[in-house]
Amino acid sequence: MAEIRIIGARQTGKTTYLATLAACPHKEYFPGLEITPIGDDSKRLVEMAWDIIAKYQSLPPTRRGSPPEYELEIKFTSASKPITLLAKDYAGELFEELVFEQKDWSKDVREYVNDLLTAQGWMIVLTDWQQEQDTKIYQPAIKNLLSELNKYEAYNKDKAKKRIAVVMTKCERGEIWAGRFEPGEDLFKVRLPKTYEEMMKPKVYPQRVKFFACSSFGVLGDKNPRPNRYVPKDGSSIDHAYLRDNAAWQPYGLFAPIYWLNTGNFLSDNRL
Amino acid sequence: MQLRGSGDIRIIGPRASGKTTFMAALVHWPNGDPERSPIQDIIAANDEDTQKLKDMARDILENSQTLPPTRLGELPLYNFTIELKPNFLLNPIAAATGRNVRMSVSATDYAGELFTLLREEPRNPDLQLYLDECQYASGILILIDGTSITDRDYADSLAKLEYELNLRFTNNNIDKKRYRIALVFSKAEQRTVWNRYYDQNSKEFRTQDFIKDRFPKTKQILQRWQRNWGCSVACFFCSAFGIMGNPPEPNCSSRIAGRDGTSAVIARHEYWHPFGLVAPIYWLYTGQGNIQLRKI
Repeated sequence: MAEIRIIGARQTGKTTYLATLAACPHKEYFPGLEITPIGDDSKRLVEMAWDIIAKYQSLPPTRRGSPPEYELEIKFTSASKPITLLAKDYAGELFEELVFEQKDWSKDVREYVNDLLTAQGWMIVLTDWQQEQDTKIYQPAIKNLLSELNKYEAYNKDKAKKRIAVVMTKCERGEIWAGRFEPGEDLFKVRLPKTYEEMMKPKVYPQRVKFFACSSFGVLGDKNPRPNRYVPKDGSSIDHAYLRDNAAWQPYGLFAPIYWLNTGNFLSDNRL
Repeated sequence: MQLRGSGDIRIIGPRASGKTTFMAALVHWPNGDPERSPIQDIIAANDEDTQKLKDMARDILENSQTLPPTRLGELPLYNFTIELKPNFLLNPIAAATGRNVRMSVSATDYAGELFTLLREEPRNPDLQLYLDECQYASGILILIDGTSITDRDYADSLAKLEYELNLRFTNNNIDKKRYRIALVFSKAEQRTVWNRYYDQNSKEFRTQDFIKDRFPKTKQILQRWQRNWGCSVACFFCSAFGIMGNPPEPNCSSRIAGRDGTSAVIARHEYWHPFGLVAPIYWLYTGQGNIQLRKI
């Protein structure tokens, strides 16, 4: 069982990731892959995928307050044992408020962090569209979060140290797609250097931090690696896109971070 | 099972050395980690003084504030029981029965002014009364701020203390050889103590180096006391607030440092992990040292 928290700023695609995971629109390509949503919240995730994303709309932002808890049972092949994923999906503002010093955190943020500290693993979700986010938000927030984690782990020596999967979402975009095989070196180091540096500090890396790249939309096809995304020409931000073709909906790399968080091992097929 | 020994102790030391904070941290015992620790629990007695102390730990210290100084007229008496796990002791009976071992401690906390009066006004009647009371204890815990540099003042006070207690012990025919003196350096989480004198490999403080560098006159006076009486003297380090994080930093904030020592409040009560509080008490109680206890 992997009890994880999905952590990231607003508009990084956290809920879209979870909905796509739950719906698993590409499972026909991977025989034996089975996702079973458990509970009403998780079933709603699947509905969100088919009724909203597949209908070329975007999901509403996750609101502050009690975060929804999703439970999914994942079976990779018919022979393998299922893993249960328990994920809480927090509003992005909470992550963004971590840029402030610990003593200035609001009650919401303190409760948020206390909850994060009790999880078994973290999936930190980042996008690189606005590069100033690297220095203004991601690096300071992660630094403060890791500092809390450090104190927590020094105090609770008996508890197992959490794994931290750092995931760059929306990697279907042309300039990023090619770098998806070596996310650490080719994506994070190049595009979010301050954050990469923070995660590479000796206390944190390498045992417990791994870099991943994923895409909830994927590309249109192997022979047509154009992003399966559509940005309306009304001045919308390029980072905020919709699915382009729901018949060719093939997400990439959704399962690899979860598998690693759960087992400490890597999936043989990264495309999952 | 009750451990053999005497738990009737007096705590003396200069002002702001942290005596009441030491006691508060002890009875509150935020170290909720019985699995790894040889200490099962510390149970505060139900009397007014002890309960008030426990409340102070919770309401004041945990809120990152300082405790009020103990006043000259006050003589609070704190009672508590330290429960140790059986496998901790080299006590065959305890190991055989598998039952926890208990130490009942009664500690009287004296205002820091008394320490100054010893040096400046030894004939002071308040001081004389305190000394009369003090002679009946089996041991004394001298708490000194490990970050202070007023070695000579401490040495003077302790020399007078030896003189005064000696008069009383001789007059009342009390056995001086059985007396125990624990010299405890507080605030050992502060960088001037921790960073320089804590050995990461052996996980112990380099006590001899520390005393030689910082408190040579105090050391001299206590060695003389030990020779004169034939009694036992032992040195310890403690921290009521403890350290946090890795690499460790002091769990304190609003720090003000001076010649007399350091004053601070706890920074993160969620990570409150005192160390070295029990070792001197155990030693005063049993006359035995314990390496495990020095580390927690």
